Amino acid sequence: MSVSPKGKAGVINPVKLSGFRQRRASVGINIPIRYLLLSTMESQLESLGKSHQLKVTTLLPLHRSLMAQMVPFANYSMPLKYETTIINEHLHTRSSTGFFDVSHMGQADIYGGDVISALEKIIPIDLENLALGKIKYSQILNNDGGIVDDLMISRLNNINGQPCFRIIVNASCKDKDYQYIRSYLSPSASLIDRSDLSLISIQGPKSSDVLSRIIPEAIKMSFMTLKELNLEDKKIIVSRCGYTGEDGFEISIENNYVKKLAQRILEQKHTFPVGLGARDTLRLEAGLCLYGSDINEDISPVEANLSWSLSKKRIKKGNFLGSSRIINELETNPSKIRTGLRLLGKAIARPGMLVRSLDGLEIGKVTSGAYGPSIGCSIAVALISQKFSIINSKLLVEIRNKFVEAEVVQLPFVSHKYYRGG
Amino acid sequence: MENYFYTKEHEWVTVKDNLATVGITNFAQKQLGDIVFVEFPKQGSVYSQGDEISVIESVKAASEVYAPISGKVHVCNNDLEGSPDLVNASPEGDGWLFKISEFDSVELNSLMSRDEYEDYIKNIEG
Repeated sequence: MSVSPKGKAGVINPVKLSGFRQRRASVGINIPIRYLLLSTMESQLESLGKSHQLKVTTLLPLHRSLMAQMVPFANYSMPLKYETTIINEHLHTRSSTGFFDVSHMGQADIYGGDVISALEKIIPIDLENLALGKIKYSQILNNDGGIVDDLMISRLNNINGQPCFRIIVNASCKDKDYQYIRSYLSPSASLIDRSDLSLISIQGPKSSDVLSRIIPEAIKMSFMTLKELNLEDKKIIVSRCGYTGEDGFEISIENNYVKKLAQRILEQKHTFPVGLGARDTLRLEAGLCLYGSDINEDISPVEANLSWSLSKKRIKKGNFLGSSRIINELETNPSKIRTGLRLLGKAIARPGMLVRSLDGLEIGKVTSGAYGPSIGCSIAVALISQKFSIINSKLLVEIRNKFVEAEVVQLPFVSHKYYRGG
Repeated sequence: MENYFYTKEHEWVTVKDNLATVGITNFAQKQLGDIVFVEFPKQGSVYSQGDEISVIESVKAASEVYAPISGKVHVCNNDLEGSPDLVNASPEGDGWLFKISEFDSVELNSLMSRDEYEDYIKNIEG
C-alpha cells in the first residue's frame, strides 16, 4: 500500500511533504508510505538537533515527553497527534478541553506613524473604531482583492500615546506578511516580530473551568475580546477565540515562561494535548478557512464566503486594495464561492478533486475535505460556481474516477459554541 | 499457526483452504492512523500481482492497497463497511480486507517471510 498526504498547503497539513503535496492536490498522485516515513524521520532528526531545516517551538521537549508524533509543518516540527488518535483528540476537544501549542503562528505588534491608515489600506475593517481589547478576524489583501493571508487583529494599549495593533498570522505566511505590511507602513511606523512570545490555546466547553483555576480574570471575557493581564508578575495576553468553533482561549506568553504555564494547564483534569491533525478536522467542521487550501492570493473574501467579516463602513468608502473587485462581487454575486458539502458516500473528498453538477458539468474543486468525527460522515469545502451553491441541492465529487453524491450544506457543519455573555 | 507472507508495500497474505486472505500490517495501520473508509474491489474481478486493488482512507491520507498476488477477488470483509476501524484494532486478524481465489501459489515465493518483513521495517524506521 502507499500513503498520500492530505494535499493542502498553509496552516494545517498533518503530513505536509513539500513538493509532493502539491502534486497530489492537483492531479491525484498518491504518495508512497516511505515518503511519509521520511517526513517523520526528518522531524525526529530535527528534534535531536541533527538538522537545522525545521524550526521548533519552545514547547518541543514537552511535546516529546507527551509522546507526540512530530511532523514537518510550515517549516516547523509540530505535533500531528499525541498518544491517542486524531479522532479521540477531536472528540475530546468538543466534549471537554484540548490544549494546543500554536506558537508556530506569527505574532507581531504594529504601531507608530499613521498606522491606522496604512493598515486600512490592506485590511478591510474599521481599525479606527476598533476598541481597546476587541479582536477582529480579517484578511490582508493584495492589489486584486486576493487574500495574502487571513489574520486576527486587535488593539493593545497605546505605545507612546499612539495606537498599537497585535496581529496573529499563519505560520506559513508570516515572513511574507511582515515584509508586505512593512512595505505599506510609513518610515516612522514599526512592525515588531514578537517571536519572543509563545502562543498556546485551550479549546472546548470546559476550557473556561480549566482556566478559572489558573487565570480567574479570563472567564468573564466575551468571545473575540482580549485582555493584557499579569500572571505571577509576568505580562500575558489572553484572548477568547480559537480555531475549533468551541469556546476557548489563546494565551500569548514569553517563551521563557510558557513551559510552566503549559504544564499547569495540562495538570488540570479534563485537559489533554491535541495536535495539528485534530486541529484541522475541528476547524473544518467549524467551517473555518485554511490558508493555502481554501483561500489564497487569487481568491477574494467574497468568494471565500467571508463577506460577513468585511466592514460595511469600509465597503462604502472603498478605500482599500482590491475594493473595486470586492464591491462588484458583493453587488453582483461572485462567479464562484466557498461551499460546504456533505458527502453521501464514505470516501473522503481530498483537496484538488473535481466537483461536478449532476449532469456532469465541471463546476469547481474541493479545497478541504476530511472525515468529520463529530458528524460521523465525510465532509468537504469546495470552491464552486456560485449558481450551483444552493443549500440542499445535490452535486457530484469525482473521487478516484468514481462519482460520489454530495449535498450542499450550510457552513459551519458543526454549530459554533462561542461565549458571548460576559 | 498459518504461514504469513509480506510485501514491501506493507500488505500481508496467508493461505487457507485454497483462499488467500489479504490485509495490511500493524506497521501500516499505525502509519495511517484512524481508518475511516475502505474502498473494496468488485467481487469476481481479476487482478495481477502489484495492481492497485483497493484504497484505504484514514483521517490524514488516502492509501492504495496493491494485490500481493495475482488472482480473483472471492469475498471482501463486509464488517469493515460499518467498522473500518477494525483495521486499526486488528490489522492482521478481524481487520482483513479480502480473500483471493484462483491464485498461483508460486507467486508467494516472491514475498517476504515474517522475519524478513520485520527486518525490512526496522530498516525503514532506521
